Amino acid sequence: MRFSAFSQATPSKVFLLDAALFLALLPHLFTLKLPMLVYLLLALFFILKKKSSKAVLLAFGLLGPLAIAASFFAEYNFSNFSRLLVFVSGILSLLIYALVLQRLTRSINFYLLISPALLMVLSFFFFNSIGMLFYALFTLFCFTFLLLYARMMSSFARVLRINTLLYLFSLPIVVLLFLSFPRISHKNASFGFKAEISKRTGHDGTMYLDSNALLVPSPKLVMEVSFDTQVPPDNTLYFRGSTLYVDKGTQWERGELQRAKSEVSGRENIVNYSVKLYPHHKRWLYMLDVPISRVDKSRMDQDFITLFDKPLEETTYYKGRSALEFDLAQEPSTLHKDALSVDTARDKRSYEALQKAVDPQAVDEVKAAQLMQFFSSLNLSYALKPKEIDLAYPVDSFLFDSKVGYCVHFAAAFANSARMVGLPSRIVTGYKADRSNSINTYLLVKESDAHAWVELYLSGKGWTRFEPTATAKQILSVDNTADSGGYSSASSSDSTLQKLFKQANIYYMYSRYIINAWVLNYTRSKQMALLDELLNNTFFLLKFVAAIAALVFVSVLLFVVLQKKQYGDPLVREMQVLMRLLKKEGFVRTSGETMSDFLQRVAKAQSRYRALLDISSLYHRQRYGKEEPENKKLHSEILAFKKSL
Amino acid sequence: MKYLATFIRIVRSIHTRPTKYFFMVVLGIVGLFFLAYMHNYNIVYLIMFFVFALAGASSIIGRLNLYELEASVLTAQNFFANTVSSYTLSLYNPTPRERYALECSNAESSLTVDLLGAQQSKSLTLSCTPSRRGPFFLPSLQIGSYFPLPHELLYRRLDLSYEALVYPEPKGEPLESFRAKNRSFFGEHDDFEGIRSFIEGESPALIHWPSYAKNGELMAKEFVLLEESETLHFYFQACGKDDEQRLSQLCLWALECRAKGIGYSIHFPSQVLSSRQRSHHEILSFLAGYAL
Repeated sequence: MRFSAFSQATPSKVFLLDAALFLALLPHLFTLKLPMLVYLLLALFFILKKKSSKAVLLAFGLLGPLAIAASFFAEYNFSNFSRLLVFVSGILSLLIYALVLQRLTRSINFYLLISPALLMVLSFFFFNSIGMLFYALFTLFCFTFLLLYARMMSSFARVLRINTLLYLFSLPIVVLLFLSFPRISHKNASFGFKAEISKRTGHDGTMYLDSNALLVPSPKLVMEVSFDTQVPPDNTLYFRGSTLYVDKGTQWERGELQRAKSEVSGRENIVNYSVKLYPHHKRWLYMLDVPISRVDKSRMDQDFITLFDKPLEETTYYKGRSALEFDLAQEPSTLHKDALSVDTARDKRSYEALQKAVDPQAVDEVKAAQLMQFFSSLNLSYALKPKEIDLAYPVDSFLFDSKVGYCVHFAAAFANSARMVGLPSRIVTGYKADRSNSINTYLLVKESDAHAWVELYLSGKGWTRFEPTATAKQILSVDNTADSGGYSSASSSDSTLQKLFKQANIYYMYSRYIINAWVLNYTRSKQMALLDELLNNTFFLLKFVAAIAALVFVSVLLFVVLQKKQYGDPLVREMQVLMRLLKKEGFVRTSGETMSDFLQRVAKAQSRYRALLDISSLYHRQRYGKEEPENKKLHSEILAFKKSL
Repeated sequence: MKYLATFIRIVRSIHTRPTKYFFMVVLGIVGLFFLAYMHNYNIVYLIMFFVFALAGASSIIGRLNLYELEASVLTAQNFFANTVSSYTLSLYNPTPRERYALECSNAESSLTVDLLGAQQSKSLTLSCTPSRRGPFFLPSLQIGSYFPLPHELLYRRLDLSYEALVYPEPKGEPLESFRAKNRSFFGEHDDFEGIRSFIEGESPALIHWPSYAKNGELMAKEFVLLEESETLHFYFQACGKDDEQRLSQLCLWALECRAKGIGYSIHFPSQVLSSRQRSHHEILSFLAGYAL
């Protein structure tokens, strides 16, 4: 015997091979240089036209090296060729060159047969994303399908069923191997490949009050956060970016860096979480307020701002640990010199109003409360696109003239106001996440969540967070109609469709995150953590075993369903029912015994089985005689026999 | 336990042989491991696990594909030693599931059955060449398959338990030649009805010498009722140098006599077998079992 699949170049088998090659080449269309792409397309044309004369072969034989040379023209130096990715690209080009020449000859050989697999493996060097994951699994499924098709040359549905059976059988093994196979690994090599990196804007170290305003109402993702337990309450979801002390009129800045370190005391409500931070080309790592542990390769400054050692050019994963309730104590003498710096002459109206609204003799906490009360009394409004304020006196302009702004304006006015009544203040910028963008322990943080809030230094308590934006009496949306003055009240809720879309998006992002966390980024540390949990948590162990058992059960169940009995002939199907019935009665058809002999044997055994002779007669008449096959009749006869037993 | 026992029985009854694709799979797994090891790509790990698991799953599904198939001999031709003969088998699938890509073979021939339906049978004609006369068991049927994936050949052997009798290899001097040489063994020389041209190789006893003396031309005598009454007498001891050669010669003559409708007797030292008293099959069977 010899392996016969693909051994003959029948057109259908060539077609199957072409389908496999097409699938395998698909990702390379995004990596090949233009000359090689053109070469490939030309070859495709000639293959489809079935033109493979010696002249064509010779032309492609000569064109191939030219295309490769042109593709790597810019890489012709030793340092470039020492890069793995360039090297792999070279191998890929040679493979495609050989593939084209082989395919043009229209003879299928061993090299062509293994080419799809080789091409697929090479694509792993270039892509490592969710898209690639799905592509690889789909392609593998297609490869086995095509192999089976070539072997069986049967109906599409039949081949698909067998292929699905194969995968159902494999799935539990794959899951177990994936979870348990030791992830001994060399350091992850990125090749400098940045398939998923895109430029993003968002939080900045400076807060602008002019047209360069910080707030970016974009749904783009900043980060995805997964908490160890449930997502904390909405009023605690402040992700700390930077602290700003210096009011430059049009913008707030960080000021001098030399400051004494605050200390976190009274840590309570500690949460652990993992963050997937998308590249933002700056150094901030956003931590939930207030972080109590440092992230690897980063430093935490005096104001609990976490900075990475270099700008984040790639998606970064890190773990955080924060206390949701805290006291940020600091010696008053070590406060930043700009924390009380305010130009009272610039915003006279505000200063005067504040002297009346806030009791200068009161303790700091009362002063802060009175300050909040003052802001509430001003009937301020929140709008995403406010009128521009007069930057010559920004606080006065916002509080008394425009009365419309967003977090930046509220925070700037509040911080200045606090200083006017003797309270040291600083603005904190970062992200205030929305709990409605969460599922279970998963939270999405978008650029539209960029926010600014204020911390006041209160005697005896230290730096305390205040949310001046919350003093807005109403939320306005932009309206261009003249009589509304440019604003109208925003509807309090999104439309049903928007809600559905938002919810669907969250679920989509959540599933992406889960795949990323548990498939693409399933590392040795996660594996060890899982093992540790299995060894120390009996309940988790039981859940894990139950989950694996459920997976095996479902696979087996589906396997059995797909392995369903395949009697093509309905008469045979009916007779099988009878065979089972007789088996229960203790009669089994022996090997080589005809149906007629068997039924006669049983009929002779006892008089109550006499009806079997009629059934046998009917069956043989319908199956082999001229009588029209009508399994309903046979069915009813068998049913009557069953009832008679 | 019942299922486990069945599974073990299936595994034991079916043998495997790796193909070149098996080594490709091993090479692929090793390659994928190094790729995954170097770059910690979980996609590569996943594909590697799938390749491994699919190879295993294929092995199990392939075994189920071969299990429980039955084969029985439907018809068999006469078998002659060192002569290609064919026999027809019925391959039966008693299970309620289809069987795919079955390659049925013995040592000499093979046939492919692409699809064998549930509880259906298919006739297969295979050939074999027995090497010696006497009782002969038909070679076991090997049912193999590369289904579903071609990295290994799965096969099982079905013992057909069919005993055939192999007749001696029919070879030696053709009957015509024998008849030409031995015209004197039957009829009277004087009973001839005429003369004809002498055919080279005929017995010298047939030469009509008077014609030769008269014309110088070799003429042979034609006997009355020669064909109708002809019974050839074969003497075992005179048929060859050794028993096998003699048996082969006799087998050839017996077959040719049968084909031409000529009666014959075979004279063994201890007995005589006459085609008028025994069936052709009985005579050939005697030859097949002679001195065994």
